[in-house]
Amino acid sequence: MHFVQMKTKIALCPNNHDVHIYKKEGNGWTKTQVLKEHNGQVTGIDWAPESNRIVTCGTDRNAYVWTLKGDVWKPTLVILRINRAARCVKWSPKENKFAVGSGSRLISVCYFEQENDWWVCKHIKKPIRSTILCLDWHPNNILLAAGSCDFKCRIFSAYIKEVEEKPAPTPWGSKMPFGEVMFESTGTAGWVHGVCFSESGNRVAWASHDSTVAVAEGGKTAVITSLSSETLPLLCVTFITENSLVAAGHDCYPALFVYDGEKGTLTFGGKLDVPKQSAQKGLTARERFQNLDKKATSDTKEAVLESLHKNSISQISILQGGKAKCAKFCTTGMDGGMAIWDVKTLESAMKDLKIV
Amino acid sequence: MAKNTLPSRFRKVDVDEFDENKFVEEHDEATEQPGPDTGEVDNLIRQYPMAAVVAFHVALRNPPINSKNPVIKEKAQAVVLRVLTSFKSSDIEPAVKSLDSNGIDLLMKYVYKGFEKPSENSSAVLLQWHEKAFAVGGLGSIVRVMTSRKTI
Repeated sequence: MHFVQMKTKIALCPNNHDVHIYKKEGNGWTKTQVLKEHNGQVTGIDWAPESNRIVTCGTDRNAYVWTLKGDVWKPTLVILRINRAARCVKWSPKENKFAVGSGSRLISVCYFEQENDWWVCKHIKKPIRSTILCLDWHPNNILLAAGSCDFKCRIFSAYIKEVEEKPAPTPWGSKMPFGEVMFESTGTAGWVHGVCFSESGNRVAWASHDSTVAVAEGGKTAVITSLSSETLPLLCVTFITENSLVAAGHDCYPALFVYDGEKGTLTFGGKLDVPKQSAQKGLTARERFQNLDKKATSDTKEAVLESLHKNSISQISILQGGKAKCAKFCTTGMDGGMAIWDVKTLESAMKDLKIV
Repeated sequence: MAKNTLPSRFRKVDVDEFDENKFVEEHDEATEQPGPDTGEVDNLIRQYPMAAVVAFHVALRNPPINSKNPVIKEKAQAVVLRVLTSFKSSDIEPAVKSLDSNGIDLLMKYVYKGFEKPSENSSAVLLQWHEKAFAVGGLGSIVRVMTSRKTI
């Protein structure tokens, strides 16, 4: 399930060809519109807050930009020129471009061409060798981080001279022609499921399928710090301050990670989902024997997940406070559930948790 | 039965070699490791239990990760397996605790490689090592064995 949230509205795809828009009403959500146009599962949705446009991409190899005309969302087809499914889509910070990652082993960077009244796209192909799973834009609207199934996290330049000025130098480099690789990760294996720039854009974090999370800091030579965790792989990661990351994945709970730039360390900061202790009921001798017979153990622990999410968490989004001082974030998972987490409440509830 | 009289040499062609989109592993610049020193390890095993942990560490040194030579890999696996089987059950846990996180991941790799070709008592011993390594490394260490493209 993919979803995007604005202040009072949500766009989500319940794993079919449609996008549902919900509006917050009181304590509940009501479905207001259904966007039907895709011929295949919708794999990515992004909502641009300033221009109020939604972009969607799907397994039908297409992307649509939706604009609100009165009460109805009208789609505009964008030709991505890909021959495999689109996997993820993100509006750039200035909302004049969006990038689509696909199974065609390339990224389509799309911008609006005024004279033809039509979205055009340019491809970033080299040196990508497999599907692009995740994207995140740098605040300068030019650099784009991409995580791929070829085990690498890269930062590309997506500079489009038709719509913007030449960018100022950043810690990732000063020459940024379109398609230039400003950074390529080393040291982690496994598909890169999630990638995120920090608020300043000077740091990028990524989560790989080998149960690692890593942070790279831009500079003459980028400094990479990674952490091998004892948990199942993480699927999504986001900065909540310049030094703290929240990541979640197949273990079904969000966790905090702390990056210390000076010491060059990335450490586990704690689980953010502490389930309430359910009352332990005593077992009768008969039940013990039955357990032994059925499960080869007389352990009283039930085979039920105690975390809030009952299946892998696939997406984390910042709701309030931005990536520098996040106050609220939201997780959505493969259990179809959406949970909103309040950072202050978490900090006070877990006594050893410190968000720096 | 019908006999195939037409040319069939084409059936032996490996079509994947001609696939232009084939993923070619990038060549790692790191030097080829020769694998642990058998002689040194043998000496140390003989001095069990004093030098057991040392033998253990020596056996885990220089894993043949970048090597494409199967002989070196077989030899390394045999050495490590010998050390692992020479341990008493009660000594396994402290030995595992003496490893750092990279060591745990490496130990897990050897354990799973050992599972692939079981010999007389090897699986039982390996399962004991697996249990202790899992207690420290967790599911993450097993995931890294499965996802790592650098095989020992």
